[in-house]
Amino acid sequence: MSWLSIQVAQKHYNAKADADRAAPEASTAVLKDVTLNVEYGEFVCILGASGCGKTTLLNLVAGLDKNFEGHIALRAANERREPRIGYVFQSPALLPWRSVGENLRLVMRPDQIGTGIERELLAEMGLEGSYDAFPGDLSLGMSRRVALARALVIEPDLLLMDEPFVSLDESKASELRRLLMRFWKARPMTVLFVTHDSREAIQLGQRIIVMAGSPATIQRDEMVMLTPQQRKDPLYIESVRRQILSNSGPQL
Amino acid sequence: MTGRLVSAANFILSLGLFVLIWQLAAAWAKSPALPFPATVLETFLLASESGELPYHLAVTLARTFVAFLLSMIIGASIGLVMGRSRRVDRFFDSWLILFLNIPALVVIILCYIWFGLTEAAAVLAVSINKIPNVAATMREGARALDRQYMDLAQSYRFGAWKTLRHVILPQLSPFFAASARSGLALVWKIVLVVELLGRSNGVGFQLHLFFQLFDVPSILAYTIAFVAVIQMIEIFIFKPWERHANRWRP
Repeated sequence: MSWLSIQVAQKHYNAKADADRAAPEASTAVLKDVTLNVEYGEFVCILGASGCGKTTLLNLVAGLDKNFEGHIALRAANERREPRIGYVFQSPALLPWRSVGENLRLVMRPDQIGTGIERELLAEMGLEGSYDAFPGDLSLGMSRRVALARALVIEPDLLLMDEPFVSLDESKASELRRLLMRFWKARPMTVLFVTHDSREAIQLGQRIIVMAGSPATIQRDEMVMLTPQQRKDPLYIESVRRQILSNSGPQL
Repeated sequence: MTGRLVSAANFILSLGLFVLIWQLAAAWAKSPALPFPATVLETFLLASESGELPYHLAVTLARTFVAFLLSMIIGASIGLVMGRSRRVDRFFDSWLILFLNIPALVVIILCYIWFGLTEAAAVLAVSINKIPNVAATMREGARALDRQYMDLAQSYRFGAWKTLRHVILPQLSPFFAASARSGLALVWKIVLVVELLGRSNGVGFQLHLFFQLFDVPSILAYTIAFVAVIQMIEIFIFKPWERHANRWRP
């Protein structure tokens, strides 16, 4: 059995929040027969159009939503402890009433508190001056950096990322992508990176999963073996992109 | 700094105008039913010196404090549960409406009849009057909790206490402030009624006594003293706390 095995036979949204208004049968299937096996240390990009169910899939893996048919198993990376999951949400989701430093300290393990690791990490990400700032005073780019730092500070075995660099300009986004790659290379962890941007997926991923349809299924599962130089070359990326998307149907 | 000076001058002027109108009205009425401000001040000083006013004031404040605390804690807990759970909310909504609409006087009388003319009955009666208001306000707050922060707390395994302290309560602080403000204003007024009906000390009890003696200067002296104390609580406790709770807002 692989390290992370995802088997979602079926996932419905039965509009539970509006239970008294919507009829009970008004439930829409979001995911169907999504089977995905990931080995420890892989960098997997999940590519699909907005609203196709990628976030739903991440929430299932994170355990935020347990209401689905199928099962998801995560093996321990280390026998002595539970696997740790870091989640970078689509919005930075920093607690605005806590300072940047406190936002990081809140997710840290008791044995990490007092080691100053959060300060070091923020400094490594160019945020040393923002330790005591409140998130409301940060730019979006900085907030996204803090959100990434918060996910990394717990030293995750599995890092879930939901369009983490969306609505940033290209130079900031690529800077953050480089930062992410640096951390992924420095410390082994599995990354599930959700995006609707195929160029971003090819730049980052070793493996690209294309999701589409309603309910969404896995359309393609491609290994992308590129050298670091190739990843930086827009023309090369463009050709790989055409190759991958040539017969996958939807525009991505 | 100038802003502070202006607002101080504003306050003194407005208060001065009020005292002036009072003075004129008293001169015009020429009746013991409307004493001069100076007479009230004299009564206030006498009652303070004898220790009578501070004693009754302290007793009433203590009751207000306990009843306030009880109603905030219980009301907030009920409101939180109702705001988070649709089923509980739907089931107990009619109870809340019922309790919101029971007249304060009825609750007080029933508490005294059922539990006797005791301190506990008095405080309980006041709390029961306030709890539904707090619950209704906090329910609104709990309904408005932001989903993304709950997801954050759950995926990073914050646990119940951490989630409450760092995720839920900060979002509820405006609702806390609103219900604490209106709560204090309501609670001390009900405490006076409770004291009038069944206690042998406190400002309410004294007011009852002065009413029987038609002692208007004492009634006004006690009222003004009490209003001043409540105003102090607002300025020195609520306002600083609110500033602290809102320090993160840009």
